[in-house]
Amino acid sequence: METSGLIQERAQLLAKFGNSPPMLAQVLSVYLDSWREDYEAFEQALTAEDLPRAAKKLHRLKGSVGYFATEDFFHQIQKIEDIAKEGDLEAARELRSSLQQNLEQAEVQLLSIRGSLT
Amino acid sequence: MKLLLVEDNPGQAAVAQGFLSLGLPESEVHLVETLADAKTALAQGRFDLVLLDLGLPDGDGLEVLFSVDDTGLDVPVVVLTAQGEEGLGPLCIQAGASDFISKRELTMESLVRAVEFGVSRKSESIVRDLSRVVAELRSLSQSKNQDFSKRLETHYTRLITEARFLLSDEHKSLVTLMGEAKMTGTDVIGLHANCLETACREAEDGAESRYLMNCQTVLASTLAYLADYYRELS
Repeated sequence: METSGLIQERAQLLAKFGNSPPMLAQVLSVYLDSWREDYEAFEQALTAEDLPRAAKKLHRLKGSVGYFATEDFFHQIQKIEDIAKEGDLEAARELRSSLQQNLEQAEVQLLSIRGSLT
Repeated sequence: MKLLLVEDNPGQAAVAQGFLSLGLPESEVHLVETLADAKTALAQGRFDLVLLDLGLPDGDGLEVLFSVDDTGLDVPVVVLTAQGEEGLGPLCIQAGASDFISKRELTMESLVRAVEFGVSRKSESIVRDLSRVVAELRSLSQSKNQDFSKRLETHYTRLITEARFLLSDEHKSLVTLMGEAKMTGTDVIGLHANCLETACREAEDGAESRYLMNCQTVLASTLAYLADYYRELS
């Protein structure tokens, strides 16, 4: 299953959860149901130029997707969080769209993995 | 095993709950999302261990650990640290946490190991305390050969196990019985040691620590009532 460097392999994720497809499916569902709300909160904070809040929301999002993300994807989110914490609004805005793209692509991949578990 | 999971991120909570349900299927996990709710839960229920996220909506970092510690309930805490908080882990141990786990490196095995270790350390500590208390009480009683009435033991044990009887009319009646049997202070201490040991041996999960916390009040008040009884006689 192609993951394009964003999401860990299905087998790797399954192994984390005791090779229990129902358990992994359940955990994936919680993330898939909640990530957009967290991302929108980050967007709103960025729009309001509230960088501490944006960093906090990104921290939360990073924590959620972190269990499924590859190291590269995790560190990408970490980098934007650090930029927001440093107060660099312009840099954070520049990286926003690639982050959104990657999160949406990750969603597709996770939906596919979840679909394969049932 | 009853666990309190304090985590405001639903995704991370789901992962921890998933790991626990696989690795410790007999455990019961109660989830709360704020420090305030954690304190309420701790005050209302008995937990064998707390899994604590340090980044909560109403608390951050070590302040969270200290707040849980301040409840005085002496429940082991395993801290869950986020990326960038790794330096807090050892500080949390120094501050009294049983263990810390980085959420980024959280696995079912590491979580189960931390929980089991925390709970077993607590149990060992209770057993050590119980042995010490019983040994001290027995040495004070001078190992007298006493012929304790079964009824006396049964009623005295209830004082230890059921707080509502403490300082009640039943408590006073029991002390009158002791006075009529001309029991001395050391006799009472010996009775107390035996009843405490029996109560703890037969205790349900988590009750031992409550009995140990209550038992000194039981002994002190019983001795005080007995002293009053003899004073009124003289």
